[in-house]
Amino acid sequence: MKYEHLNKYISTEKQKDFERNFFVNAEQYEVWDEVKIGEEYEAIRKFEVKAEDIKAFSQAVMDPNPLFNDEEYAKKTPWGGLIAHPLFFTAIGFFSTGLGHCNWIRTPGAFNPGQLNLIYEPFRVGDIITVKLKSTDKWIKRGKHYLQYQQDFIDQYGKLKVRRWPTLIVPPTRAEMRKYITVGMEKGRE
Amino acid sequence: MDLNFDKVELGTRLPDVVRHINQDSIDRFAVGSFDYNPIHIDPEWKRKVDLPGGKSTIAHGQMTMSLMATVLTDWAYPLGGKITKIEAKYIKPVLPGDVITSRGMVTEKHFHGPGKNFVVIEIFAQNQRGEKVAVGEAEVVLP
Repeated sequence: MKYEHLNKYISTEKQKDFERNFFVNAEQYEVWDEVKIGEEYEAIRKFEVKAEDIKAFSQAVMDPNPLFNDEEYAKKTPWGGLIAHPLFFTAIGFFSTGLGHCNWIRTPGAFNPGQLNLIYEPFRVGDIITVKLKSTDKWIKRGKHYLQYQQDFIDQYGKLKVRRWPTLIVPPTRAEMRKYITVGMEKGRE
Repeated sequence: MDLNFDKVELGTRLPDVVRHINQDSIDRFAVGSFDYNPIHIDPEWKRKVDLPGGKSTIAHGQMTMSLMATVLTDWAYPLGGKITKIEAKYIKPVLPGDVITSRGMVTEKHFHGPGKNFVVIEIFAQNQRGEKVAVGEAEVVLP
């Protein structure tokens, strides 16, 4: 497993087996100049929310709020039970997204300039979330190549819990993307 | 503990959230978010590429937004307020060693009736040099 020094932070079942090498299947990723706006995609994996997932994310964002950590406390609040930190969709998105269209969040050389998120309901224990994605825009500004997509988080009852529009700055072509992979391989740490 | 829409005044400053960022906290966020992009967790790789942050790894933008969201949840969630919208732009990388202070201020009140009334809060995060690293806005429904 790559990045073994991170093992000390693992506290959930999902974290144990997750592939940490974002470059391992990068040749199957879609890159900026291949993207057709408006295409839709459903993420390969569903995310069943467990209490340990909510608590682990709370620790990851250094937020000890008992609403995210203490079931007994949370039951006595207007929320009636444990809820996830509002940015928990980040974990669901990265865990669920696989190969193919809209898998730009793992693109070698990509980085994140900002986003808009609409939150309809908090994530709770027992939710089984499906992630649906649709490319919404691609543009060039000041020499950088941007992608934007809509990402929907839908529970097992068909209820939309979060809709967001992440933006990424990415390499424009497959050849440019490969340069970032090559740097990784030079290190011999695959 | 008597937060409600009627009592909140424009210009109200929410309590700051201050967090020290280091490579350990970035690594922990990578595990918690499943975001193992080497730009965050691989100092050796990062030194060799031309990406934001110079030769240093950078914290996840989602971590910075999470810290800004914590300003809102600490203030509103204990009494049933909730974030319905949050947006941000990351304008400067957060580096290991930075001390990030996240802040919020009520700038608008929207009157939509009980259970739907919401406030707009300007949010931002700045480093120990007073440089803004992220700016944004959120909507929070208040009881």
